[in-house]
Amino acid sequence: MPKLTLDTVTMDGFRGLRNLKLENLGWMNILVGENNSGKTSVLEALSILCNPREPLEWLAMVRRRDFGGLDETRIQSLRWCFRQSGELTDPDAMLSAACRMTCSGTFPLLALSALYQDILGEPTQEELRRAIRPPGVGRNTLSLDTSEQPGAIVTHHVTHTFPIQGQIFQAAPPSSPSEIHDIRIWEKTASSFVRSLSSSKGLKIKNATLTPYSYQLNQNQVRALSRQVFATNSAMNLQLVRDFDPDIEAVEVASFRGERPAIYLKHKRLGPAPLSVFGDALRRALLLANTLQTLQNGGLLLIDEIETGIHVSALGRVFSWLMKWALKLKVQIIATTHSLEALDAIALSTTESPGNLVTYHLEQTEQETKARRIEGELLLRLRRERGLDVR
Amino acid sequence: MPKYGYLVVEGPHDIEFVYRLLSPFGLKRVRLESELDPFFSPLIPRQFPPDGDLQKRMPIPLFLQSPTHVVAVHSSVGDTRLVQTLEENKVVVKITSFTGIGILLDSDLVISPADRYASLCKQLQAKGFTFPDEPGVIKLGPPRLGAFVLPDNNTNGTLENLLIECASSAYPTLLNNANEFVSKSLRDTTLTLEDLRDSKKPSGQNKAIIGSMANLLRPGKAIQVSLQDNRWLRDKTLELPCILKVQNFLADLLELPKASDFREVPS
Repeated sequence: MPKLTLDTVTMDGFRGLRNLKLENLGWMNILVGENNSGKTSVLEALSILCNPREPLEWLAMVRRRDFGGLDETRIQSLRWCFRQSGELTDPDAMLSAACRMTCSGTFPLLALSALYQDILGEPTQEELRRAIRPPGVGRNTLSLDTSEQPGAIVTHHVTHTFPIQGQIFQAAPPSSPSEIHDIRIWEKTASSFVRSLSSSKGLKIKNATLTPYSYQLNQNQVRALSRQVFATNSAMNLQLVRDFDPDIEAVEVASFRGERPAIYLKHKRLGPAPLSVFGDALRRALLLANTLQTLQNGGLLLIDEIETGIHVSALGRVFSWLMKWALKLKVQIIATTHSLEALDAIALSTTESPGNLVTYHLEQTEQETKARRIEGELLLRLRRERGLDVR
Repeated sequence: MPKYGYLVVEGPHDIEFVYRLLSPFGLKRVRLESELDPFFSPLIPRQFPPDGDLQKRMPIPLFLQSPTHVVAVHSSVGDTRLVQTLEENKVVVKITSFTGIGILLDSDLVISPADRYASLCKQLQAKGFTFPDEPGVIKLGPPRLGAFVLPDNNTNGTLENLLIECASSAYPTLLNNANEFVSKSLRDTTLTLEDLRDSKKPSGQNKAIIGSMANLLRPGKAIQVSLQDNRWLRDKTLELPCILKVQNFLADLLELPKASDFREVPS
């Protein structure tokens, strides 16, 4: 088996995570634990860690978490990514906070420290120029407000191993001096639409986060299929999808009446039909198929609530399929679940090579976020032989 | 908060044996889940059938509870499974919350107690449990760790050796009769080798004697029912040195109060 992109990761200060260490990750990693134990936070932190030279990733990450817009502003969403924010009782207090992550594996990143600082000021012309307007907002509209306003600076301090080709290090490889990448985000300047300046070249893990609602959205499905079409081999895609449902003859983007394009499947029995008429398991599988291929050879797939939308009777088929293709395409998966049925189906899908599966039980204590590591073979025994609940 | 204990033993007879030895300390069988200390909830299986086998017994420990102690007694057959059971428990309960974790095993008549224990210790060590070098000794905790190799940590044998000692005190005539019956039957030429396969095993004869007696005392019931209901392990038999040795080991391991502080309540 090839080496893993991420072998061990540590996280401290990101949301409620304290001194968390996930050691000896596998190809398929499942996070379990009670509500607020930090499962989703781990996925979020990993999405930041995958792209350490791009602080703008924070905005994408908070948008995913606060899909429904529960927070007052995106700056507020960002603030709450740092555990120190919980210590502030004065809403006008200026927060200065930090979190730190480290990792080992084939990814050359060693450490990422992210600093958050509240600021009050005016956006520069350059920052306004970089702001991408939301649809319908013109260049001269007030959404690009230049008045003094609250904002935040997110700064990444990044250290990584020097990528010296062909050299095998006997001891720990030398590390780079700390790189600094930062971004200023303004509350009234359409901060959700800031364009990146950073270059993440050479220090990035291809990654994707699938949330419980991702597979329901036309935009996500079309985008994932399009990425796959442009980035990978279409024949392979069909093979992957047909491995899930042999009655599918083709997957295409089409527009029936010239309206918004949507995904259509050519199905042996149904003929061409929009994805919306198919069940959740197939929708999920299609998004997974497209996403897996764009991540092949070392990518990281982060899945929140992996069981969502899949009937218990289909769990075994979906996870066996997912495991098979993740290994084939060399994509490392980290997923969360609350479902024992899902956990059982995943464990069964790895019966032949249980070493590929690792489950971590997360638990928050006063001092730390504990991660109890359960190897695949042990999980199988706990579930099948003892019938114990490991969540 | 009560003190928690966990014992792994090698079968249903050993479970009943342990229960009889712990009963004088006020520990009573827990039947209802609602009455069980929540600390042990994670050890209750939530899925049937175990290992997909419809005939397999649910792997649930016997829970014993008193105002001061809660003890789980779990049956696991074979060294590998015994070690795995402890490894599995470590995932679902906090091991340092236990006052004592112990193992009761047989040495049978082929492998010496020392050899079996040494081999087991190695396997336990690999899973992070450092048991004392010798059986019968307790390593201070938390959790306190110790193993007892039946019958006495030295002699080759099994639980049945102890039960025969008890029978000689509680049911001497019945023991003689059972002994005679089994010896005679083992020489019965009308029985085939296959018929006597289990009885000819190293501890087979003792098991057959105990089984015969238990069946006379509780016809049609399992041996553990007789151990539970009859006088095998009550009153004066509990004062036999060989029984006291095991009982003292358990009391020390689990930090039980003195047995004399309790009056035994028949279950």
